Amino acid sequence: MFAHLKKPDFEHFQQTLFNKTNDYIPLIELGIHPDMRKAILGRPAITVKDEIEFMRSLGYDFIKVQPGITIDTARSVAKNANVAADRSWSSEHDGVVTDWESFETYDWVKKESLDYSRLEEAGKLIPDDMGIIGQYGDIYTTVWEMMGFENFSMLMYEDPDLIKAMFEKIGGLIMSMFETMADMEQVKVLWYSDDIAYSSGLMVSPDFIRENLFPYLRRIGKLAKKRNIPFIYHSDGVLYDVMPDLIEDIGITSLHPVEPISMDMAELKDRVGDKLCLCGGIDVDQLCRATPDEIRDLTRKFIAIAKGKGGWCAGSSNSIPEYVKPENYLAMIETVLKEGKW
Amino acid sequence: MSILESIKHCVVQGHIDAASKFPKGMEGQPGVRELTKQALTDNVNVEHVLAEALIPAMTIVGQRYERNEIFVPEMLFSAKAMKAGLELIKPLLLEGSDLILGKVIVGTVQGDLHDIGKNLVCMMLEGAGFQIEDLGINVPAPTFLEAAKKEPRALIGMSALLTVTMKNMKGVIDMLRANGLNNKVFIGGAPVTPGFAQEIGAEGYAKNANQAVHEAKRLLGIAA
Repeated sequence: MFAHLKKPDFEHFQQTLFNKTNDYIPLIELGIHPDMRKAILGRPAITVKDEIEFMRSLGYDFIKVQPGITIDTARSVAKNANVAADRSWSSEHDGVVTDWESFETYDWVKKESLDYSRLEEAGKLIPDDMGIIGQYGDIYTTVWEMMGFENFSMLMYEDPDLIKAMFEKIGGLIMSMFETMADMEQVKVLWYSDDIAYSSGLMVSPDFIRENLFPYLRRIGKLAKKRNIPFIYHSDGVLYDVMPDLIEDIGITSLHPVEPISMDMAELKDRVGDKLCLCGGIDVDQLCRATPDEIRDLTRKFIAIAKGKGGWCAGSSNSIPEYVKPENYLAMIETVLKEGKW
Repeated sequence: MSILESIKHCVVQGHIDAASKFPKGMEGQPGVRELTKQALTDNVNVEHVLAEALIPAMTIVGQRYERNEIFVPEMLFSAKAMKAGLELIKPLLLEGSDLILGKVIVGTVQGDLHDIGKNLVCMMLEGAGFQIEDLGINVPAPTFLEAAKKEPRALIGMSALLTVTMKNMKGVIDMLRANGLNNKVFIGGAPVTPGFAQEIGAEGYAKNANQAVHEAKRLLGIAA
């Protein structure tokens, strides 16, 4: 597709995530829906080999791999007339753990059952010019999803010990993933994703996040630092209230996805651009509804922000769901590959 | 502190009742439930409970939320505290009272099961003096239509979390207008913008639950 425009250069991508390059803009994406991959590749992308071929053909320098895990958070499914795929949703009232009894009887996933086979296979198949991002997250999200958001909110104050125990359970499990991934030589970037904010501000108080979630992120930051590999953090929403924690205390090197409805890329670049590589930013809503020409113009605006400064990996402001127009997604990538250099 | 001031204080603090552990330091003290009961026993006018305690308290809560001084959990406690008081006085409020600002039909559109935001909007609107008909989540357009037919002067509030589901808001508005209904519509949700609201013919847009109150008042021509 775009292999003629750019050969992978994982080392350059890594250095960009460290905010140390200033010549061209690499691509990044947290998730690309299987239907989108199929539409572009002409066949389903299922295996690691397919994944490498797909990402390489579009101009990416990496593949992103997660350990295999399934946690029952009792999600519901909604049928949607607008798209082929049904969506699953977490309960915002009920949960699978709402008191100590359900905490004790819940069938918790064990560390030993986590599946790293895809990461191992990726290590064998990844070409020298590409690299592997080890990604997982959702300590905070899994806790509230398992409890239901309203229960979670009430129990934060009514039974803080139960909330603490939940974070220890989920945090311990997910930390074990990051410890294992950090030990894998083939993993050359760590990416933790966990939404903690809305477009108007944090979902819960900064103090709660600092006390319950950030200790785990700090440990992931240390793992990345020890390996001297980048550490990307993903959260939707406005993060200014915890930005100093993320940068100075936790030590993230890169921030994703910079939703335009929440944080303005140019403003963020001015405020923290010397300390962080920014990732994403191209409005998913526009990718769904605009024309390819409008997407090219929008992408050019972002390129102009990064031009001469670097420190930006181009991508959507969240991920590429199946309802993004494929022609818009491709227009964004092509514009970056052709014009995002100086 | 008068009983009305105490009720207002407890709603702002989110102290539901004496059994509630929130907020720290108020455990065991009477909350909105006990204080409202006390007010009724003391023959305090129920309209005063609503107008001088519950409604102004939720206005303060909304302002604190907008300033990021409190967050969703704390707002939920305040909303539940307000509700504990409202449930006690509701049966005693006269139908057609000037304090009932109007009716709002609220729902999350079809395909979307998200409702934290929608519920907060309901609680804040109720706290401001609106009557709410909550259609719930995953609401098909014909359900909005049927509700609007019964309440042609009610406002319609719609919520969506995703770009793909917010498209269904337009279907609701088109169906209302095709059936000759002129209920004013206001919308919100993570991907929704004022531009989108304008594009689909919604009369209003709210970025958060507190702004939903301002917007509902604006649409009904009520001074903020």
